[in-house]
Amino acid sequence: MISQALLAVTDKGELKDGLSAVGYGLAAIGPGIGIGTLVGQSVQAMARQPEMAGQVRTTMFLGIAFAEALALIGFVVKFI
Amino acid sequence: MSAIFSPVANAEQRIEMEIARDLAKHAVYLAPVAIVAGFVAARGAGALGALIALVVIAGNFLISAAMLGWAARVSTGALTATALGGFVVRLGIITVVGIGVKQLHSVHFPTFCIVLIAAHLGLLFLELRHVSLTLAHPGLKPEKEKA
Repeated sequence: MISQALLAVTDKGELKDGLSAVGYGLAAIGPGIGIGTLVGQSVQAMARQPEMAGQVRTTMFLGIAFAEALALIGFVVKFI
Repeated sequence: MSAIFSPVANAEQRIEMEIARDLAKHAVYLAPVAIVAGFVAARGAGALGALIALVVIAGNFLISAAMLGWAARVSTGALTATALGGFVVRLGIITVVGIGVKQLHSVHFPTFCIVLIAAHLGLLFLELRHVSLTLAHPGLKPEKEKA
């Protein structure tokens, strides 16, 4: 019902663009939560065992990059 | 070299930058393959798309490493803020670049997108083989000495 009403007042292309932008925003939430958890746990690990900070930072950097890949997939899906 | 005080231990070691430089080096090695694949897919526009995607990926890694390395030398709070803020900022930059690339008729956009994802994941999985994770070498494995 709502979608029919939206289609009646909006150009189909504009609606598709708008929805894909919303989808991209939603797709960026997951990696954001993932990076937040990852960094929080890493900082906790560095505080508990400072001698392991180098290894933790290495793993954290790679983990952030892997989580970012999900956001990039969302970006690609939005445009394709 | 003078020691830098930081709540984050080993902060003076530029671990992130070491990994990011290695990733960028591998991106350079991967570039001819990606450009040829792009050329096969969509001629010159595909090759240009593949090249831009590789530059975006390598730049993203280097900027991320520079920001995190700097934040690790400041404080743990700065590290957290930079990791989350940096993610948003870099994603915004990639989106702006993507929108710009999409407007260009001389670039094949699907090739750009495919290379962007494939190169990002491929480089990261390749990098996992070079990561050391020992107390002596927290960044990359030391290279074997040539006889």
